[in-house]
Amino acid sequence: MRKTLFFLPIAIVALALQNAVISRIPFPFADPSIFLIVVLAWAFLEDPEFAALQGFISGLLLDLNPLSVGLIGHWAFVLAAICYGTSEMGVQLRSSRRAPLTLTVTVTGALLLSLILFAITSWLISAEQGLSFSRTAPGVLFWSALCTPLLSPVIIRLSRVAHGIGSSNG
Amino acid sequence: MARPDKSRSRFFLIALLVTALIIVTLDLRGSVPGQTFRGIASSVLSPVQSFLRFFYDPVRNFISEASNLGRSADRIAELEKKNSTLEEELSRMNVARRELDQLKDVIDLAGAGRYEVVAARVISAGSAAGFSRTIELDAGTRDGITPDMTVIAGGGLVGRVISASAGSCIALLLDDETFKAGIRMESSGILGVISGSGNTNLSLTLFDSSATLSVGDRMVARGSSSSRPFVPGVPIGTVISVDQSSGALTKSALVKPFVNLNSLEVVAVVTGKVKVNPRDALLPPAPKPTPTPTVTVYITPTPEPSPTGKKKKAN
Repeated sequence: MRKTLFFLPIAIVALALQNAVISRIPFPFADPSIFLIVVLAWAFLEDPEFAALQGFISGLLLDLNPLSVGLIGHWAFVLAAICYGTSEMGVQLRSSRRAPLTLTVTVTGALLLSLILFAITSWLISAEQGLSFSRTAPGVLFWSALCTPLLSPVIIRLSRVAHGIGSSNG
Repeated sequence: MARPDKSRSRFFLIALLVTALIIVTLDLRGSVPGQTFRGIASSVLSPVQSFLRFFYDPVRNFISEASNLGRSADRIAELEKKNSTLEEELSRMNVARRELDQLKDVIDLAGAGRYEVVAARVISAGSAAGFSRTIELDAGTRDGITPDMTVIAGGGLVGRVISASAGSCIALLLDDETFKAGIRMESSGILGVISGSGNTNLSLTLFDSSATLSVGDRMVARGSSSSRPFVPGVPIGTVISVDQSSGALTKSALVKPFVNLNSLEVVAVVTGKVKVNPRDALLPPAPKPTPTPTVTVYITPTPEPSPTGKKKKAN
């Protein structure tokens, strides 16, 4: 619970950073999704149960983002599932979990899966998408591969702090 | 071997996914007040976004300026070029409009006087260093212009042609000191000679010393035989001061010409002989005299007290 409370402001800041700064920079192809990178990287470093909850909350936050026009619960569904799977992978790779390269590859892969799952579920529920998958995915993945190594030290450090809070206080 | 809490976490995941699906379904059915929730999320995110923008906007502006520096410079250069072209065009338009106005005036004057004219543009003017007041016109013998022809503008007399080549001619302006022309005073018909004085005003000499000459009197060209060098009836100017010295055989005055000789652009050369003398018909309408208010003061003397009265009072 305390870990969740610690993560929530980080997610809010990441989303605000995404809205106020990153999305306003005219990146080539598409803008990097700092928010998804933080959420997925965090999930990779957490245990599956918390990762699923954290993914669900992050997804809900993304659904409720004032700039979002999709259905509420859509990203919550996608991120809960993907964060759980990412965390499971992190558990499998316990020894090299905090290596930047592992984190980068996993986060980029998870991001790709998130986009695919989001596109499939959009198609299933006939939800409208403003941008097509082919137009969004390559840019997002490219920038994710570049940004994750830069963000990973901060995320790993914050995750350690969160773990310290979680273990000391329950 | 599966971890003991794995089934719990899977169950938890499934519970979350089902919850998400329920929310999606409710939103699909319109049962979730999405805008209300997004409004709440907005009120949470807005302060953070404003805080981030406070730091980011100056950086963004700087980066934008830096990245657009080359393009901005190109754009500025392009706009400057366009601006100078437009300014040039505007200036040409203004000149053309001025020339058109002058041409219209001179054609009107020529039409009124039934003068046969060739319009010409002033292409150069003699400098003061040349000790003469001359202008070069872009019409010459090819257009029927020969020396000793009258040059007029919309306002009146400009001068006379002193030399002509195939494509251009030189005209002597009436303010040149060597310029002389016979004149006839408006209404009275008194004859005289106007001559250039080397400055903006002209000198007028009337042959009749007893003639009445006053400020504001106007004059036209008397005209020469065969209309050369001067055609009759061309307005010349207005008297601005009269020399009152008595005993002279002639009467002289200073005259301000109707034409501003320093801003000539389009003129006309009278090429044909004038058949009918227009006399004073070409003069501009005379300015109406403004009535001068007069003040009449009546002084009534006050009666002085008589000495008898004083006496009576003393007694």
